[in-house]
Formats: sequence, structure tokens, C-alpha cells
Amino acid sequence: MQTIEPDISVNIGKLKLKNPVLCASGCFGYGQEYAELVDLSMLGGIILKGITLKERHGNPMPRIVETSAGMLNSVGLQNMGLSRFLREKLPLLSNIPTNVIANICGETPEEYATIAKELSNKDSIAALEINISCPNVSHGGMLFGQDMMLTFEVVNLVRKQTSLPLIVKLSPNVTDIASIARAAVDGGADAVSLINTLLGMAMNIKTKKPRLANITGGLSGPAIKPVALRMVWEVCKAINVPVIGQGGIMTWEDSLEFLLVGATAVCIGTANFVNPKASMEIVQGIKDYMKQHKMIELKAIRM
Amino acid sequence: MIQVTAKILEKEEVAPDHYRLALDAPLISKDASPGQFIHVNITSQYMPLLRRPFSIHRITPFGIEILFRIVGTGTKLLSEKRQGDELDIIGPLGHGFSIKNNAFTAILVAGGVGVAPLFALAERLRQFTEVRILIGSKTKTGVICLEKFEALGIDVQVATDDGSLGIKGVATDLLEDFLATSASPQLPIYGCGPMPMLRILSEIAHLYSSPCQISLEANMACGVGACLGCVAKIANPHSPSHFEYKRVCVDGPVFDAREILWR
Ligand SMILES: Cc1cc2nc3c(=O)[nH]c(=O)nc-3n(C[C@H](O)[C@H](O)[C@H](O)COP(=O)(O)OP(=O)(O)OC[C@H]3O[C@@H](n4cnc5c(N)ncnc54)[C@H](O)[C@@H]3O)c2cc1C
Ligand SMILES: Cc1cc2nc3c(=O)[nH]c(=O)nc-3n(C[C@H](O)[C@H](O)[C@H](O)COP(=O)(O)O)c2cc1C
Ligand code: FES
Repeated sequence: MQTIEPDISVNIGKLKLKNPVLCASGCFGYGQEYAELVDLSMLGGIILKGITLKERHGNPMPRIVETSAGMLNSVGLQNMGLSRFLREKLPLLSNIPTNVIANICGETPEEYATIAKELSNKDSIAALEINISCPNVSHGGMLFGQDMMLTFEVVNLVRKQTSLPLIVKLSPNVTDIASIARAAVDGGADAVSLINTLLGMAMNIKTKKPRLANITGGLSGPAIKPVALRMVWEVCKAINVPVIGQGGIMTWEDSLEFLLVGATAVCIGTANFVNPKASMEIVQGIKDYMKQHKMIELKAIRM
Repeated sequence: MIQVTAKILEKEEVAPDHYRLALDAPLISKDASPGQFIHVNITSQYMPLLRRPFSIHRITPFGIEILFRIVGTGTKLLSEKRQGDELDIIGPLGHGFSIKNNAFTAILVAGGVGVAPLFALAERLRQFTEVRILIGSKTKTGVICLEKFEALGIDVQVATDDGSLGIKGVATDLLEDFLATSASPQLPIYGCGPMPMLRILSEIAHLYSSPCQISLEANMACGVGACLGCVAKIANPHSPSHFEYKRVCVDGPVFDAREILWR
């Protein structure tokens, strides 16, 4: 008997992904960094490191500490800023054999809009992810994602500047994530992605000082998966646009949990650091699972 | 850079809490140069989660060696691996020592397990120049690779904090003494060790106008330049703030000592 190759393509707004596996912002650089280790053409897409209007140095060291089954980071959105990005990185993106999604972050709603406008009509950028959830910057970032009105305002302003599919990246550091997700959809989001990192902290008991120079940082990795899954489930029930689930996904089994609660796609973040081939293995794992269960469409997983 | 499963060919306890592993990784060793490192996945469990970076201690046609000291969970687990076990490693990574073929004596300065990358460097430099190594350690048992350097015909001097071997003092004391009495100026210096030592080393090198390359350490996640978790503060006259954070894993771990901003 001939086995039919399952169709695992998904749509995020008008963007079609060949499979539901993306590499997460901040965890995959600009794609090139991993090109020798990962067959990028196997991925549904990659999301670039956050881009801000002006160059940002980021936070002092140490920026990373490992915690139980997870890690805290306080990189602080180090990036070269929009104009250098356009000059130095954008030309290289056309070599990347999958969808490239830009992740943008601003200190004001107007900054988000400016960056969005500049990145529209660029052949190599397939969609925008609006980061209203970065916990490591003192202005903007997560503050927008913690307030329904501000979320609406940022998304709405960006929506007016671009016809690219808009994904809004939500913060878990809120009391009611479903209401923020609704505000993002009302503002014009084509999809939401969650969760960004959970605000956390670690102490060095020898020096009695915080282990991160920035004191607090964002927790990611397997430790946050149950929290992430619960929030993705809540958001999937609350809105009718695609949800991109993430937070601690290490294996294809983890990604199935997110797809089961309603996520359309998943993002792989910290897992890349541990095993650069994780995203490829997850794509293959989902396919094999579907073949084994004789499923031909991704949505059959939920039935 | 490739990700391979490498068999442990040899394991040796070189000193209390210090181990050497020889890994079967010809595809990594053929591209490796001194000062580069490998990123090791110590366990497939989630504790510890992240890979751990280790300098390449020796480059052979069959593979590479690493030399490490137990400092925490990851290195403890690594020390429990046995000959024949397999390790998931990525390498060679980073920007190693730039080796110029000149006639000067090269001075290597190691603090503790900082000797690890300097052995690969010594083996390379030895092919065309005279090499001298100054090793500092807390105490006698932490002075590693001494005989191995001597077997290469390299002049070794030792300093220990407690005076149990060599002079009582630190490796940079040996360096100052040597430079103060040396007839030839501007000898190239290569250093690896704890940050406070490297800082003093840089100051001494500056004083004697010696070119100085040092290998830095930083907590790392990706090891390939993607996460920006591992940066060092580097002088940049073109930046309005006169500095930038560069990634230790790709722009380093070896930097020109003059570039580093210590505060
Ligand atoms: C490029 C590079 C090359 C290295 N080469 C060698 C080598 O050849 N031999 C060797 O023994 N070690 C080397 N190290 C350091 C080694 O990576 C750490 O000792 C190791 O990651 C500690 O892991 P752990 O789980 O045992 O300790 P953890 O439990 O993670 O930490 C224990 C203690 O060690 C400190 N520590 C953790 N990571 C580092 C680090 N990267 N640098 C300095 N201190 C750290 C922690 O702050 C803590 O106090 C290198 C580091 C880098 C960045
Ligand atoms: C080192 C690091 C840097 C990150 N940088 C960004 C960023 O620039 N923009 C963003 O939206 N999310 C950023 N994130 C969050 C991740 O994209 C992801 O949402 C989060 O880590 C949870 O997924 P994970 O547990 O699979 O890593 C970063 C995460 C890490 C660990
Ligand atoms: S460890 Fe990720 S950039 Fe260096």
C-alpha cells in the first residue's frame, strides 16, 4: 500500500507556511548563524531577532543563566537598529530558503508604525511579528502588551502602515491574556503568538547578588511549557485568528500538545540552543505521527 | 562548523577534579585551529539544559581533545562519562588565536584550567618559533600539563598562590619578571584564564607594547552567534558611546587585549 504524504501546510493570514514549525525570535539570529547546522528549507519559517528603530547595545553581562530545566535571559534587545538592518542584513535574507518574518519592537506606538512601514514591500520579508512583550527593556516592549488599550493602539497603528500579515506576540506577564489577545485582534492582528518569556530572577547565594546583571530576565525552556500551554489554550478559545504556540517546546510531542489545544503553528526557541536540529526533527516527527495515524491533514490531529 | 556524535576514545583524570577527554571527531579536527572551542551537549535530560563550551585542547588527525575542571553540575556529569560513551558536539566554533609566523619567542600565560587551549596553540607555534609558558594556579595539584609542555621542549615556569610549586605568586608576576629582564621587546603574548588575571595581563602587555591575544569566557547559550547572550564590551570609536557588545562565541573567544573595555 502506498502511504500518502500528509499535507502539513498552514495559513497565517494570507501567508502560507509549508509546515507549522517556525524558529522563534531571538533564538535563531538572522537565520545565517544556523545555516551550516540546519536545512532551513525544511522549516515553515524563521522569525528574526527583534528590530528596533535605533541601535541598542543591550544589557550588561551576565545576560544568561541556567535555571531548573530552563534559562533566564536579559539580552535587552541588542540589535543594530532599523537602518543598519536594511543595509546589512536585509540583502542576505533573500538567500534564506523559507519564509522570513521580522520581529519589531518600539518605545512608542509611532516607532512600531515607522519600522512596519519601512519593512513592508520588501520581497524577503513575508510577515511582521509585533513584539509587545519584551521583558528586558525599560521603555515600551512589554508595557504595551500588558494593557488592552495600548495593545489595540499599537496594532491598529501598525495595521494602517502595512498589508503584510501581522502577528502580535503576547506577554505571559499579565492577569488575563485572553483579553489582550482580543484587543490585538480588534486592532487588526492576523494572528497572535505566545508566550514570550516569563519574568524571572535567580540569586547567587555565595555572593548574595542576582545572577543576572540586569537583576531580572525572561524565563524560557521546558520549565515554562505548562504555563505556555495553558495560556495558548485560553487564547485559542477566545479568538478566531490563528495562534502560534511557543514556550518550552523541545520535541515533536511537545509541539503536538500545542496543536491539540488549538494552535495553528508552533515556534521553537530555546530548543535550538540545545539541539540546532530540533526544529527539523519536529517537522519530521509531526509528519511521521500523521502517517502512522493515517492522517492526511494537520487539523485531523485535533479529532 | 558541524554537529556530530563523537565517541570518547580516551578519558584521563589529569589532576584532582581535572579531566581530559579525547574525542573521535576527524570532521571537526580537520577544520579546527587553536583557540576555537566545541559546544557539548552533556545530557539529553533537561538538567543541565544548555550545552557547555570547552576549548579545543589538542588537535589530532583523529579528532580533538578537551581538558576541563569540575565546577558545577555539567562538568560533574561530563566527568562521569566513560571511554566508549558518545557525546553530541558542535564545532569547531569561534575565532581562535591568529598565529603570525615571526621569529619572536611566544609567551603563553595560563591561569588554572586556562592551559587547555594554550596546549593546542603551543603545539602549533612550536613548529616555527620558540615558546615559553607561564602557568599560575592556586596550588600544586592544579598545575596541569606541565610535563606535556616540557615534552614539547617548551620552557615552563610555575607560580602558585601558596608557593607549593614554583614561585609564590601569580602567573602575571612571572610575566612581569620575564619582560623586565628580556632583551627583546614586544614579545607576543597569548593568555587564557580567569577574567581578573586577563585584565592584569592586558595591562602588562600594554606597558611593554607587546601584542596580546586573550581568550575570554562568558556564559553561553547557542554558541553560534544567534542569541547574543555571551557578549564582551569592546571598544568601537565609530559608535557614539565608543563601545559595542561583541559575541564571545563568534567574534571571540580570542580577542586582541587592546580592544577590551574592562569596566
Ligand atoms: C569559549 C569557552 C571555552 C571554555 N573552555 C574551557 C575549558 O577548556 N576547560 C574548562 O574546564 N572550562 C572551560 N570553559 C568553562 C566551562 O564552559 C564552564 O566551566 C562550564 O560551562 C561550567 O558548567 P557546569 O554545569 O559544570 O557549571 P555551572 O553549574 O553552570 O556553574 C558552576 C559555576 O561555574 C561558573 N561558570 C559557568 N559557566 C561558566 C563559563 N562559561 N565561564 C566561567 N565560569 C562559568 C558559574 O558561574 C558557577 O559559578 C570554557 C568556557 C568558554 C566560554
Ligand atoms: C535569548 C533569547 C532572546 C529572545 N529575544 C526575543 C526577541 O528579540 N523578540 C521576541 O519577540 N522574543 C524574544 N525571545 C522570546 C522567544 O522568541 C520565545 O518566545 C520564548 O523564548 C519562549 O519560547 P522557548 O521556551 O521555546 O524559548 C527571546 C528568547 C530568548 C531565550
Ligand atoms: S552564545 Fe549565543 S550569541 Fe554567543
